[in-house]
Amino acid sequence: MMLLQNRKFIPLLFLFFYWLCINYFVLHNQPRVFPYPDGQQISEVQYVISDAENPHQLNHYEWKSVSLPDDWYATKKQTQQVWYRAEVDIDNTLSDIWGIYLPSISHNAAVYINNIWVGQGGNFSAPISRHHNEPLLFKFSSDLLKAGSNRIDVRVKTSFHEQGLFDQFYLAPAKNIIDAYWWKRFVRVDFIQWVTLAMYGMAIVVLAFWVARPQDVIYGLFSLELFFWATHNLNLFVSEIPVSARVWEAMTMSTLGWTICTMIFFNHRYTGYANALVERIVLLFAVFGLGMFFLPDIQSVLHIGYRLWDAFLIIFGSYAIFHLVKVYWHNKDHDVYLMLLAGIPILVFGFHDILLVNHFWDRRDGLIIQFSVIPAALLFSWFLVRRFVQSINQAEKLSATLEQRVKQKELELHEQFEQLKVLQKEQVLSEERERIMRDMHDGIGGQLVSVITMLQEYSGDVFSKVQEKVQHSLTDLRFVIDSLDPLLNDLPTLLGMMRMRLTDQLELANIKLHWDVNELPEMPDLSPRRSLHIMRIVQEAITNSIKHASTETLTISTGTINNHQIYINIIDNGNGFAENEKEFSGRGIKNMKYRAKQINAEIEIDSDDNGTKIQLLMAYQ
Amino acid sequence: MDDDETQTVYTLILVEDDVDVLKRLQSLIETNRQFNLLHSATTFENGLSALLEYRPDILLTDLGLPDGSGIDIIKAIEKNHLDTQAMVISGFQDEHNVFNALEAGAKAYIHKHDESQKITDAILSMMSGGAPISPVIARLMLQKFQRPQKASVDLPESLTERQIKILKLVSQGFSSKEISEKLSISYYTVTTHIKNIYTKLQVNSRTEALHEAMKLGLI
Repeated sequence: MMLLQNRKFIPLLFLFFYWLCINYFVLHNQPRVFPYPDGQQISEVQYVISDAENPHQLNHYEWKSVSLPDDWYATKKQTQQVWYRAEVDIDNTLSDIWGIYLPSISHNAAVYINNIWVGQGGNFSAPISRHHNEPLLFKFSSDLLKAGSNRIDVRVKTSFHEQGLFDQFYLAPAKNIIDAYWWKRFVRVDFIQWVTLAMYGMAIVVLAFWVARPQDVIYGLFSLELFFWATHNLNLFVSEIPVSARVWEAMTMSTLGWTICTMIFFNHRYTGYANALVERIVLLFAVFGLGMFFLPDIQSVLHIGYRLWDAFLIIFGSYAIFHLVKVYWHNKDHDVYLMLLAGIPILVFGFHDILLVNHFWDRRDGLIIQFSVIPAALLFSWFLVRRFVQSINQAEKLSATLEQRVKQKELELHEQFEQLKVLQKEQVLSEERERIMRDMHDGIGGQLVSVITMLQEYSGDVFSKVQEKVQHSLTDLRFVIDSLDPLLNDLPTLLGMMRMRLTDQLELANIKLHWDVNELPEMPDLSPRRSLHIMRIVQEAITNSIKHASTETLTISTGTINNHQIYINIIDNGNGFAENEKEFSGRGIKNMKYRAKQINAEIEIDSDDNGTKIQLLMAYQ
Repeated sequence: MDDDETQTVYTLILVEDDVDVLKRLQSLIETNRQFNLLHSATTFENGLSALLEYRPDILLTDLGLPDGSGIDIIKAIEKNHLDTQAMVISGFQDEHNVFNALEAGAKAYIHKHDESQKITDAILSMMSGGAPISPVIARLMLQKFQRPQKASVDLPESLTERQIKILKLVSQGFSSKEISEKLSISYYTVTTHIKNIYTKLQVNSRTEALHEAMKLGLI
């Protein structure tokens, strides 16, 4: 129950049944892929073991009977060439073109009809043409046939004696057998040829991927795997081999081993579950397999290859499947499951082929492992292309993110630069202020202070008027300097400093000051210019109260209205605006209004007998 | 004469490079019986050696001296564990420099062009525990304490809420008297708070200087 509840268990159970099914169809009940052709099947023949090169040399031999298929491994282990002879009765020779169709032979055959040569598969001298995977069809004119009995001689030669095989063959008008021939030829040769070509192509493409990204080792591995397997496939359709049969067989064997080896490496890396020990063993084995090229004769190549080498390959292949099952059990990766679906047939088909080459299986079936590779190659190619596309997408996404980040950084830099500019401006202002202050230190400011001190020692209207003027100049100078102080970009502090500057003036006028300045929201643009205007407006209002209103008290208060305006009120309890209209509407008010306009502020004046209220209103939002 | 006997006499040295100002201050101090002027200097070197030699009750110093800064003379008080109260003679509208001097340990400041009475009042006020302050200085204080310090330095002193409130009110132009009324505390408490703030400022400033020196590998 526990196992059934495990969600990985059911897919693996399915995989097991899948394996059983493939076993059943491959090893127990192989479906018939190649239909019997519509022609006369010839299975009862006579044969002689002879090195003769044509049927004329065979007359003095003693012929023996045999039923086809004839697998030499059972009866003629040491034989390299056999002549088969059949007598065939033909009633009707109306058709022009006839053919003789040999579905399965190893490795080469030549056909004679009534002692006349009608065709052969290729070379009969080493390296012998190889047609072990390829059906042969020889067409000939019906003129060669005669009504009644006809003699057919078939010369069969194998490149290695244990491999000789001659299956039932067909004699019929060509059109009757050609479809069967073409179908088998297509499935076993042409199709595989194109697949192999595609594998080489894909190997080159994937190799290019790897060259482009050497750090992605799996591209290199897969390219190698494709290359090895494609090369292994050559054995299935190259009939005129460019090297000796010994070298050719060694190549066929070792490339199969290297395919399995690279496949294990690929699987390890693709799934991310590597086993260094297994890799070392497999690699050692594959390198060892190259030794087959140096074996002295084809017999040792075939014996070692088929018995020892292939047995190990089955073990490694089983390991590959086991490894994938293990990975799947760990992380339930769909890709791994697909790899298993593609990998299991390779193992079963491979097992079939090993049985076949070792004569445990009807060799007429032919090798089949090449077909199981197609889905695997397609799947892995798809994986890698998908991976490549994914990495391109990811790179694009990354670069998009990067662009965004660069933009953001730019923005930040810009902001920082702006801040720096502000700071620099402040710095310049502060330096400028210090310079002005240094100038004031013993310069104009100090001198004005001295003048006032001196004037205090004298009495009289003129002196006091001069003193008053000088005092105003001094105050104004202080305002100018204060307006430059970055610290005073806070309105209450600015007003606080103003109060300090005006203390003497107010005390002199004997006015009681009611100070009601409160914390205010920050004004974002309290520039020196603005500050100075505000100070002068406030000063003007205060001066007006002192001079013209005969007030006893003066209230200065601040606050906010409607969450968007700051107000500064200057309120006196003097005799108001109306009585002093002329003076009030004079320069003082005009000046204040002008200044307010300069800084986008409003001035409201409310005056009656009980006093005057001047309100300065400024937006802060 | 009875007054003279009961009154404390403060010893004093004066450091000022402007000869006119120096003369005026000299005569002002010499004519006041509460002060005993021990030495007048016009340079940093001379002022510093006088400070160490006479160990006066009061140091009255200008900041910008031809061969150094009055601030360094003020720092020497703490370094040599003297019991001297330092007062800055500031120029016209020079609050920023005054603040630096307060950080170094000065207790009060006067403007060199202030009236004579104002100057003597300021000195005596300092000796009786007063602490002058202005809106700008209050703002500088608030900034100094509130600004997030260099992450690595953990300054020992911070302001209490009451002290912050007082500094805010000062910066808004309120006098110490008005503040005491607003907060319903005594005038004396307000000035004590301000004096304490001065001390905290000086402690923090020393810690910062120590840290800077350590960072530079000087210590």
